[in-house]
Amino acid sequence: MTVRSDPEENETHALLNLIGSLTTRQVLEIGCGDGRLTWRYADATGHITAIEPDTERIQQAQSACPASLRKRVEFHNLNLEQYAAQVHSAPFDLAILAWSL
Amino acid sequence: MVHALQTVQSLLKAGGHLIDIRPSTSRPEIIARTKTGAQFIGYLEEMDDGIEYTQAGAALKQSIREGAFLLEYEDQFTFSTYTDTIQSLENYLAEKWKDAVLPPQVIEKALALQKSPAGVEEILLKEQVHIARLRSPAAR
Repeated sequence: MTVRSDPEENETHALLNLIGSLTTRQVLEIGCGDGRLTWRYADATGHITAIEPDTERIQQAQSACPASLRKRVEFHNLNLEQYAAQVHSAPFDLAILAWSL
Repeated sequence: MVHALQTVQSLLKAGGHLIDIRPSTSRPEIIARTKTGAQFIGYLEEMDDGIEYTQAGAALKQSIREGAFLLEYEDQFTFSTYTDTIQSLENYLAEKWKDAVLPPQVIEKALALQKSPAGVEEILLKEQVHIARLRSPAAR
């Protein structure tokens, strides 16, 4: 089965256009899935905390994470409420809800 | 969903941003690319009629009305998925998009085109996607 998703990179361009010149030292990606989108914007941001409640999908993301990003992307197999319960401050400059609200 | 947005806001610094990407409420189109051109063959259906996207949009509007977020920018883009056959698209949906349904008439049309002289070179699923950037108030 050959499947190509967004080879035109319309999603990436739209996202990078909105990230623009924002301060993005600390980014929270909610529902990162298999990391498909994470790799596409990671170079435009600082540290990324990627959360995903689906164990299989986050394992795919962890396996697929490029070596160059491993120090900058941390994964948590948690949903938003579970993650928020562990965080006792407001540390993020940017939150990304990608197909997950 | 409003509660989820409040949770997101609690994790953002004052003045921090939220980018929301989600499918629009329009039905995704299915197009067959043949040797003689592109042919629209129908729409993808969702078991819940995409109600969660409508609810998400309403929750976001409510958050804006209540001042939890300020809308800075919104736009739409096309997100396309390409497969080599209608069966491949069916398999892909079964794996990745479990509440999506390929209507039988769409499958029949695609199979008829596959058997025709024009053939099918590619099946294209086109979704319209909404993207918005919102800002948390500078002081809470």
